[in-house]
Amino acid sequence: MEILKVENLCKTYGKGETQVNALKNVSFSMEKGEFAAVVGESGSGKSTLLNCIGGLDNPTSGKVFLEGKDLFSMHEEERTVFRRRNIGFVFQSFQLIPELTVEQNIIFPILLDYQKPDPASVNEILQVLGLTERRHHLPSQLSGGQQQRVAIGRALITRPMLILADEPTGNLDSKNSQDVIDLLVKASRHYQQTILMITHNVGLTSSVDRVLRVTDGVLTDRGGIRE
Amino acid sequence: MKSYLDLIPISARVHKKQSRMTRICIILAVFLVTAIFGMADMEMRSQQLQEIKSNGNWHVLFSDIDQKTASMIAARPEVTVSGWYAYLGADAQYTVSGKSVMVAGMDKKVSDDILSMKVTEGTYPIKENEVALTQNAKLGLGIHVGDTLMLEHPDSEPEKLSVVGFVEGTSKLLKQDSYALLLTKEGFQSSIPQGQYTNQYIVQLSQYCNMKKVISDITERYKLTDKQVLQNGNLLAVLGQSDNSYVLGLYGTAAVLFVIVMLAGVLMLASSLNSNVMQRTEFFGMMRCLGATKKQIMRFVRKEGLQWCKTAIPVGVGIGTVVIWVLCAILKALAPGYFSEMPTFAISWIGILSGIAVGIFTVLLAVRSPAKKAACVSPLAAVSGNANSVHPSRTAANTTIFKVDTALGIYHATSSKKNFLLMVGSFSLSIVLFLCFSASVSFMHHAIKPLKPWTPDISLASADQTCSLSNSLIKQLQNDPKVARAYGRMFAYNIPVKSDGQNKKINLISYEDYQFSWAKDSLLSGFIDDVRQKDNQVLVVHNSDNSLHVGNKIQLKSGDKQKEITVAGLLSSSPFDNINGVTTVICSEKTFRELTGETNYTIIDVQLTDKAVDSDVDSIRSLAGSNIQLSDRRASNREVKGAFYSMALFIYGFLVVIVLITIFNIANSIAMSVSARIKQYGAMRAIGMSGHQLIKMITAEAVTYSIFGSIVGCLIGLPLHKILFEKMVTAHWGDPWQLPFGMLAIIVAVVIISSILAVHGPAKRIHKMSIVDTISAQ
Repeated sequence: MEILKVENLCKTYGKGETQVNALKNVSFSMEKGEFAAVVGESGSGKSTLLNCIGGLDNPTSGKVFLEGKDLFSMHEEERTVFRRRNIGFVFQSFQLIPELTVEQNIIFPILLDYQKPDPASVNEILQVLGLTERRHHLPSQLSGGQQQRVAIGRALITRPMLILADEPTGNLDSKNSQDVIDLLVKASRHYQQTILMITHNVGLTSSVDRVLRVTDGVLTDRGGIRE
Repeated sequence: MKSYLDLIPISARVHKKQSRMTRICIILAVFLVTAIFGMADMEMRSQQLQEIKSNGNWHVLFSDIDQKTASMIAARPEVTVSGWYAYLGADAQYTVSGKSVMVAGMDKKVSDDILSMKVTEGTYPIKENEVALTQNAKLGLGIHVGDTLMLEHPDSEPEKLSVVGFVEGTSKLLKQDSYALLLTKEGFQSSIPQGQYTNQYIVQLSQYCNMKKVISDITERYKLTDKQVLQNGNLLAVLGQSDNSYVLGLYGTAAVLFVIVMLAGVLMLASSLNSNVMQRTEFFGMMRCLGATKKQIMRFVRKEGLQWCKTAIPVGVGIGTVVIWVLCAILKALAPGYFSEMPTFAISWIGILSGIAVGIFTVLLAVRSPAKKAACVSPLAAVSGNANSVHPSRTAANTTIFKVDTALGIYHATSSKKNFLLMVGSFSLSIVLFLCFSASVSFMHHAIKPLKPWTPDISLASADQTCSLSNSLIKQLQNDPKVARAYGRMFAYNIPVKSDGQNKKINLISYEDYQFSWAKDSLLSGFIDDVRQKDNQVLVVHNSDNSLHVGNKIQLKSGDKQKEITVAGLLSSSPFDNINGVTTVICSEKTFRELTGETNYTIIDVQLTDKAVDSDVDSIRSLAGSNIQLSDRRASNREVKGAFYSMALFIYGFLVVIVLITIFNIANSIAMSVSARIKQYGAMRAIGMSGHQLIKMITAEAVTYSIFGSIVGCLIGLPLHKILFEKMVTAHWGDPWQLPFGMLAIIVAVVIISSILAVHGPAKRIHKMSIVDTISAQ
């Protein structure tokens, strides 16, 4: 089942001589439960692609469909609510809310929807992430790896159609990096989550279903790696 | 770049927006101080003008001193002008053509430099037998320049004097319908027998000396008694040279207000600089990383503050000065005659100097804490990119009571104790400042009574207070095109009456339609129309010792018959003085005539049109005839109007400035607070916080500051308001302090509404920024 469809996505910064084409006619799609990695050099356009797919940035042209819904045909407020419910984000610098506990950070998207979280699913996620003991801790009381696990928990809590991870291991050591990747793989397998992850660590792509390479704004599909 | 400090202008260019906000804060603080002190200066100047105009520009008067002592006093370096002066009031029984006159004798320099008498026609007397009269005597006594008059006294021979000129009459003389004769000192001494007057030596001192000290030194040196020394207390008070306890109390009040204004400036700047530095901790950390010492960072921050002062102080002073000019222009437009001598484009050095001093002092004081904070940024924190989270949260936001957006907003407001205290402090200070200044509104309404709608320009009164002004006179006046309104009153004094079996005395006064309609504003109970239309119905003016109420009956004797009148209304006040033991009772003209049998008026009041000039008043005087006392109140009305306008503009101007500062300060504080968290807001938006939720979150933060600010402001402001009110009003007029509900509601509403509105600017700015930019914003 096709979850994500990207069609002729272009993103241009600046004008005239300073014009930079960050994305050039990028098209690809992803199936439900697929775990894909986007690799490429620094400044190649990976983050721009991820931001456009997540609706954080507006593309210059092209379309992004999530379960058939055109992301950029929506009004901004509508797109925000859609993103909250259907797209989970994991950032390199975690972007946790420092004044909320581990548990509050994880359920933050549900709280933003003015809903009551299901205690069972919160407990399950905390257990999967190994954070049950630390549920009442503040982000400042956690290690980098633990903070990133909280960020993954926050991305998983709404069971979104798509999880976008921008260099989730960029600020972590190798042990924690492997733990984070293992968690994402587990999410992909266990919850049938579709995950698109940016990384420049080719070593981490061994666990993913598919690798996409971005070079100077052009995307090439390197196909499946994992059998 | 020659020094690391050259980085300041470069850094300012990069952080343009943050620098602009801090500059605005400095501009506001300087403007506040310049405007407030400039306005106070302007008010003092206008008070001085008023005092000099009505009582003369003298500071002390010595009676009964010899020529030698006078010469010694005149030779003192602090004495600018001095001279002989003698005066006899209307009670001295001097008359000209049978009319009572006042007589004054003085040196020419006293008349020119101290009493500023303007010669309107002819010249000032030089010879012994020459006399100048006040302008109103020209028509009142039918005298012209060149005429000869006889100054008569029952106990002495008449003196023949030749009239050489006329001078402008003072408002007091015109109001009392008195004439004054001005002679030279020698002329006075030869015309008035010794023993009837005391020679006085009038002295004007230099404004820059300690007048109290000089006066006491003269008193002591020449062994003068207290009776021999008369100080011009009012002028000394407005010059700040008085030791009167009430005046000193007022200065004390001004000092308290000065400290509060200073505090407002310091707090506003401190919170602005604090968040400015907080936002750049990474930058300061990087500088420490590159080898800058803590001392250098502190110097950097201090120099940066002074750099902002370079442009912000002149702008603040400029705006403050322009505001004062505008206020001066408004005053001149409102009371053109009264403020004609006040320059529109006056420079208030007090205002400017205090603006500059407070600007620099406040910046240096306010920069201390952020400078220390910047110096303490660890280089490690800067390189690891965690500089902004140097002070991580210690407790979590409570999301159980409020929704997450509101809970986060409240948490953002209260999480940093220091920031919370600064914000609450600056919000509450606006309320404290407003409440303190609002006490002076009550003071103003007590100290200066504005002109009432019934205030006449001219009053024609029967000399013996009887009903002797004919009805035809009022009709003639009403037909005069220069007369806007003419209305009369009949008076019957001390009428014995009975009410509830008790004997009382009343003053019965008649009203016509105009006066009844003006009385409506002071109606406490009952109906004015009943009194106007029905017979034997009256209004009673409230008096502490009067026990009459609506519905009470009053029995009085009218001729041989006993009549009864009914109280149909109670008035809180009237234009007439309350006399102990005598109740003021007002009725219609018809009732008055029926009760007393009188048909003519005791007083006719005239309100003139704007086009009326002096000659019109002269023609009214001719029309009224010489037996009627004419009180020309135009000059004194102008004085009252001028004094009220200047003080009202000064006080309300203050309040408006405080309200504006409150709004700017709140808007700026919220914008600063949002700027400091912009990265975090970006993350929240990425996760799915909508624009509406973002506004709710920032509003919750702003409202938290304003609610706590309002509570603290009331807790400090109300007792201060009480103290100031008691010092300024209760001490003088006895009015008890009451909770200033109206003023409190205004300022608390301004604070809360400004806080809510202040959110929209920054929220709009965040909304316009892309989420990606917000996350990566520094």
